[in-house]
Amino acid sequence: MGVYVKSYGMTKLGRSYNKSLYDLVFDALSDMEGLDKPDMIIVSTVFTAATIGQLDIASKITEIAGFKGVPAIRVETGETSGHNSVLMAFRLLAGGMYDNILVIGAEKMTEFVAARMYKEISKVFDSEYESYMGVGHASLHALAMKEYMKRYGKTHKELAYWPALMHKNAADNPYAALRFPVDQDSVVKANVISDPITLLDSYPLVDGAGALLLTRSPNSALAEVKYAYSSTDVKPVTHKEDLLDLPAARRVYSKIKNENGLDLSVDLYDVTDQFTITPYLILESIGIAERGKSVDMANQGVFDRDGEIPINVTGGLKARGHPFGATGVYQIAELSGILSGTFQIQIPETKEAMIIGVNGLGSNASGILLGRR
Amino acid sequence: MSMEYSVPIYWRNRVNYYKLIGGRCKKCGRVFFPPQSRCPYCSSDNVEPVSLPRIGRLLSYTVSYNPPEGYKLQTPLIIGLIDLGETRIIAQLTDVSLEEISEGIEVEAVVRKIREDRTAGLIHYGYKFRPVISH
Repeated sequence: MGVYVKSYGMTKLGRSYNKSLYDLVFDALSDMEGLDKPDMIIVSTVFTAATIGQLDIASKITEIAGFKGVPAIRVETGETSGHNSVLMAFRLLAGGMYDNILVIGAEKMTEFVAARMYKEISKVFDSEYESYMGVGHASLHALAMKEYMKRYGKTHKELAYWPALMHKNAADNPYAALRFPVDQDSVVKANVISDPITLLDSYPLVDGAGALLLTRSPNSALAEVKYAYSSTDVKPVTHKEDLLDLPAARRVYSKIKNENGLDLSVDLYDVTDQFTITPYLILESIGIAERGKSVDMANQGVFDRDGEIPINVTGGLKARGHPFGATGVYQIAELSGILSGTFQIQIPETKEAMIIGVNGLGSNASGILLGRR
Repeated sequence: MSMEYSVPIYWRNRVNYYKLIGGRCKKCGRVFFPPQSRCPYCSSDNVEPVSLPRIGRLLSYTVSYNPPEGYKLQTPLIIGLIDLGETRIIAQLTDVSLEEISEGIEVEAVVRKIREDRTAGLIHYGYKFRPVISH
């Protein structure tokens, strides 16, 4: 009994001052093909209680979707909310509870000034001991980036291969927020947010909505959801054994690999890269790269679109944008489109694709394995 | 007068904030900060509060120019990762200019203002670290 992605819809990420969250959801659903009434709706959103002040937002979104009466819940696990929403849908469908589930990810991150959003975003880390002290999302990643550069003797410019590649990859993604090219030098020289992290080492704050219709019927489906798994780790960063290790991501990757008898690598990956350091930590934690080697691999072009192990071929969180609750939905939608040949970007011969999402420095990790229908 | 931040949350944490109280696991012996009722390493619930040393070594730091809302007057924020021997702590550095900071210096904990409740005028305090001057 399989689970399949039947269709997807997304809005172009960016600053949508003239549209509400509900307008964006409406537009994303209008972008879908063959959307019939689902058995259930799972809404993924992180900040809407703070940004638009709405609780039980799943019922309001269900009304906007035109499916009044359908059961609806919201899932929130920080930056892995979208991934875990699809995981929940996968389990319910695979268990035979439902036949069709609509997953909607939506986030509105430009309703307030950036500093206000940074305060909300800092809560993906420990609220009473990290956020309270003014320690933000960027600062904790900055400490990890500094530690990485020191431990492995890598320069900021070497690490900056990643954001430069992401901007290149986003150039032909019609949904991406940042479609202009940047080079490694300009990443290093951009305005500092929390050193060594510059503005160009960081994701943009964007608005967006994406939707996936998941079904048990393979008929006219785009891709198969072959497996999904999730794991957690300590919340305060100072409880971590190693700042640079993400054990939850490793557990997710190992489980998916072992359960599906995969070789070391699948054809295509999409991983969390809200800051330059994050993808390197993920790739080394899950074992795609040896410790301290992922930056060299990146600079050798291994992770390029035409490289040996293409990663984040649609621009990543870095350049596509990172609408927190919707991010996982965008990743899964884009890769489903690549697997079915319907997305604007094509990677020939792709048979399997894996998405690995991570919250913060690893308190939550969630992975989805997609295959051709 | 309404309050933006919860007073009870601050009140419950004040001793940990002022006196640097961490946790010690009586099963595996590890010390950790922040404190909680379960050991983050072996998951034992046999933990006790422990006073952490107030002097440590600065392992690393980052200078934040775009901190979260509520910390603007303190910008740039210097966020340090500090080795306290049996555990580490992440905290703001204070009473120091950027030129005086380098990795490896000794730092000591002090109680400082962390933030102010805009509407109620309440001041919330907590730990920050400064270069050692009280030997």
